[in-house]
Amino acid sequence: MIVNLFFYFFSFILIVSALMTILSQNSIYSVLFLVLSFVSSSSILFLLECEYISLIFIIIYVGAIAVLFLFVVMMLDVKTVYLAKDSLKYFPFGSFIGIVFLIEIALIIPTTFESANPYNVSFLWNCYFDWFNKLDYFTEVMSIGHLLYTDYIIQFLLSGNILLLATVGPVTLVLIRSTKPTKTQVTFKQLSRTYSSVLHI
Amino acid sequence: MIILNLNYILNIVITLFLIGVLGLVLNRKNILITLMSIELMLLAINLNFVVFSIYLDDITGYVFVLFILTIAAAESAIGLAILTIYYRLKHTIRIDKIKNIKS
Repeated sequence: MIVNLFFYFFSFILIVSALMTILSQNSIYSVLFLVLSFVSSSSILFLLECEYISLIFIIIYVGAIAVLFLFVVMMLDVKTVYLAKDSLKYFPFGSFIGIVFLIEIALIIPTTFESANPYNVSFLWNCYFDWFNKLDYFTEVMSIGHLLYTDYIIQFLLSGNILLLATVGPVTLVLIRSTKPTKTQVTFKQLSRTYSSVLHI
Repeated sequence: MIILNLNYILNIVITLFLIGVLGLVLNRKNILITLMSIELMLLAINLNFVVFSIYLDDITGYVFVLFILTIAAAESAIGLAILTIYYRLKHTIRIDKIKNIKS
């Protein structure tokens, strides 16, 4: 099917752009590959038919986080000439750890999610058509709102507080404070001190 | 409608997460790439939540995706602010020069 081909295509782009994010020497290319991986993951979610989350991914990841990274890259003006030898110093150790974890997970996953059900092969085997729900249905945003504002209200308020902290914190961090006047000697006052005028017993 | 196996999507997600971990381990150049690989790991976690939320036909995963998005945005904002201050003080963002930071 064409949707499966799209899925393979976007997952390939996702993996390749994530690899290029951590491998590229220039920071600007790295940020742009990060944006590409965000967009491709968002289109994967679009293929899985959860539109709200995928649009939220585009808005928050590309619109907020990646633009923040681009601002910082533009502002810092980092020199991009680094030796490749220096970055390959930890390559055997890191690739060893990564390959060990990858083999473990790849051995775990096919044995865990396998069952005797022959319809297990399809991804959407838990979903079934309920025609009452098809006729009188909640949209996705409505059901998320029902869940978010009733069961998870404390977590919702906490995440609002975290966002407030993330708004106030960088402003107070980055503010250039007027530095206190440093303690220096006033020369004529220092020279005019004599032994008799200082000691009072 | 997608006729994919769940294992394929989970392997994609795990590979993405491990690329983020490799970015944390391999990268000795600048802190910016480190923050980006943390973002990649959070993206993999989000994809995992959404995939299982569709697979189990349960909407709770979406709510946690929203919370993780909040945490990711806050983390990147505070991290980039700290990075800006560090660059203003030291004029470099190399990781191997960061051992001079302890007072």
